[in-house]
Amino acid sequence: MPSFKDVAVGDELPPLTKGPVTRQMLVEWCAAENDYNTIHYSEEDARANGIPGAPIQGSFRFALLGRIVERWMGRGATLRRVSASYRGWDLAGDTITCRGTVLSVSPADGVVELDVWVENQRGERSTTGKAVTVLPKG
Amino acid sequence: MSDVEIRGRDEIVEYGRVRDFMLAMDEAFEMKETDPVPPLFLLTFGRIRRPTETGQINGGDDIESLLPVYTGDRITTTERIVETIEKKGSKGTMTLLKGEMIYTNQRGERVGVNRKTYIRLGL
Repeated sequence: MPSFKDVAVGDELPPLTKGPVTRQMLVEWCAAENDYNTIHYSEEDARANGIPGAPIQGSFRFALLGRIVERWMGRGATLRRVSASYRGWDLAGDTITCRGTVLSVSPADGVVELDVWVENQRGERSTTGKAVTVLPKG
Repeated sequence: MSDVEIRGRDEIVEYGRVRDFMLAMDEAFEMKETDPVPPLFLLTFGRIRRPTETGQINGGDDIESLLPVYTGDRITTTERIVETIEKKGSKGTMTLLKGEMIYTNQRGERVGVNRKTYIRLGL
């Protein structure tokens, strides 16, 4: 677990990879977030909505962005905010990797801002976002 | 477009649902019952279980955690649309809806907010 003294602008978070993301995982995520939109497990419904296959939920990617930060910051730190924009489709069968870098560090209050994103095996950055965490001054 | 405020149902924070949230991501579940839940677990509240509207997709989430949330808390969600933006492009009209979902606990304290973006495609 880093204290803010250990953190520098430009530091990279250890990447977090999931996949290939299976249809079963998408169904489990439907249950986890209590939203059973059929496009995530029916190819027919996905295509009827103009999507080339069962899409990985944006919220799934969003939650994983929270996890890459939580894994890095460790216990004793506070995840204050995570934002994400879903700019492209990741589909069932894709492998997605969450990445992040430190954007700023505030010694006065231990606040660290991060750039976070999700990319797939094709190198496409499907999701972009920011995160804010408060690290112990340790 | 005027604000439309929608109050979701009250939901109790359940330890097993937090477990399912973590396991669905293939992440380890190490939370004790007395620990605060992961802040992004808030995204599971106020959902429409069987969404039927077509042509609208989730364009973004932005959760700010204001207070810790614990197993057994009662969370009330209230959502309103704060901005509507029409965009015309080569593929038709696209509408961006900016929503704000507020999460409040049983003491009336605001524990989080999700500034959401919905994309409604021209049909």
